[in-house]
Amino acid sequence: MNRNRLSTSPWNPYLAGAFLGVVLFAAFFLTGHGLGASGGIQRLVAGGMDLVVPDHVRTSPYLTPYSTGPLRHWIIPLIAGVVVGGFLSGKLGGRCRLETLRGPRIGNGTRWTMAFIGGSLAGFGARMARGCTSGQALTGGASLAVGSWAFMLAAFAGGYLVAWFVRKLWNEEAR
Amino acid sequence: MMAPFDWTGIGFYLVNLLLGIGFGVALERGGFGDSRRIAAQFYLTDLTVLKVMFTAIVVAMLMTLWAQALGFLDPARVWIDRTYLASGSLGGFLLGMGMVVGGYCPGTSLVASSNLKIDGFFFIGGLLFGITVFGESVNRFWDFFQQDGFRGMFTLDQWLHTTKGMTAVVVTLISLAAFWGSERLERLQPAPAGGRRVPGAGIKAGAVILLLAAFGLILVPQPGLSDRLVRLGPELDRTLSRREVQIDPAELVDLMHNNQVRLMLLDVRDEADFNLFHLLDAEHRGPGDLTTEFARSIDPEELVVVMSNDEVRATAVWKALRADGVRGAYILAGGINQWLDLYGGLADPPALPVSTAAGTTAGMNRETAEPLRYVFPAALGDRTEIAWPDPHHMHLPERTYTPKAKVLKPVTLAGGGCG
Repeated sequence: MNRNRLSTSPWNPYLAGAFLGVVLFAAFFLTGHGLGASGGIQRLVAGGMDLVVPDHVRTSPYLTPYSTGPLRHWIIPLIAGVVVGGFLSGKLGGRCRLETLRGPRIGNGTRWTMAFIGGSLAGFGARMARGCTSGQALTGGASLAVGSWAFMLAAFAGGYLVAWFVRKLWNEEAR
Repeated sequence: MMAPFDWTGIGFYLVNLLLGIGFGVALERGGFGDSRRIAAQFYLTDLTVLKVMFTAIVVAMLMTLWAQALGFLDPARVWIDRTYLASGSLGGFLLGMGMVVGGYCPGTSLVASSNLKIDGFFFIGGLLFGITVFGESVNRFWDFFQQDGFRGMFTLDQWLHTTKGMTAVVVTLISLAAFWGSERLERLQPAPAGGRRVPGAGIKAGAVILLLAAFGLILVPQPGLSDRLVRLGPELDRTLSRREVQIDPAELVDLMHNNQVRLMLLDVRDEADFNLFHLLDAEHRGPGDLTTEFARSIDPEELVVVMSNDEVRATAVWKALRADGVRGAYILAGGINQWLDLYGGLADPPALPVSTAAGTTAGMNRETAEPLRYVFPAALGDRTEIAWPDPHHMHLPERTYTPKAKVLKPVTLAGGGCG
């Protein structure tokens, strides 16, 4: 029974966290770099732009380094793995189906709009901070970087500050 | 061979793919394929985000510090995020807001999308948009992004003026306290449909193991610079004997004129020699200034060229920098003396070799293992054209060299275009 639950349902958060910690350590140990996500999407964006508007990318000191052989960077196979691993795990647990996950008081249209807006904020913020929850909070947190801990505090602060204003998105009744 | 390893070819793709799969499974099993669970963190109804995140941080921190303490893992080659307090905090703040509004963060939106969550697709669409907007606007606040609150490689133990072991104990204790608080907070909520999950004996045992591992680190110190020099010595000597890092004066001239390279010129000679002549923008560092702290303050994108009169002192400093993890460190081949061999004659008045100079101002009569072989009419510092030889306005000697410095793809500056 235990084994069956382990292969299908979400794990105890502490167990999932310990497993994630071992994966992060394995990244440090095997490769010397940590984990990441937004940096990979940045490279795909810069690489894509390099195909369409190469002159523009090459005159941008920010974009140029990201557009240099974007597919040869470690983060690309890593985020490909995230997609594969996430899919396999969800498929095994029967959670892989076409659906919109949202709070009970909003429709799909609102959820999609807010997901796009939230994604934009997160994307802009992640690049501003040179990393997201993966590259800054987890990787920098575990390597004790002061900036990453400041990032984490700021992220929680931003989240809690806005939470009250968007409570209708997620909660059952007005609080 | 000490970890981490240099992966090439298929192994490089495979190891990163496998790490990514592990990461994806952990996120999905943590419940982060569901935006509602992530958002619940911010309404204090379900603190899974905090529990998973801090358990992962503590586990990875302890395992990494133990691997380093026992000599399996080279700390100088483990990536540590550089600290940019201003842009890092503002970025974190925006990302936190995005998480509540959008229900995901970049990594978890990939997991949600891989399980066909439509809100995940829209979040990724937003990410692409936000990242593009950032790339197009960052030039407007470039200094804020690159400089404000920049502290280089700055870790909590330095901030607290203590050891990594003590810091690990503090981080572990705070995390365990946060877990205890989370469990109390969640108990205020009505039990979820599937029944409440109470930490069992296994989880409590895990907490004890983490505590023991953290306290153990106080007794086993992290390797210091001399340990690392001994360990890395053979590798560094190989690099030096193959002359992979000694860059030709002509290459340095080209680097000085390449505005896409962030160049740091580190002059480690005696101050008297530095005052007589040094390269434009060179920083003088005495032996006492070359600490591990200094090495860690160097931006990883910077290209550091160390120079002494010949190569002796520069090589010693280069070794220490490399052992401290500065991978972009190089040595000026032949030092300042070879620089003057090449360009000294172009100055007006020219720098004169010691042997031919007759009684001019110089501090050359000191007994030193590595003397400056030229004399100058006065202490010029960088107030001479050969401190920054300009190929467009001076006839520099023709010279071919093998490029050694690893620099970014040069940016072509198209007329009229702006970033």
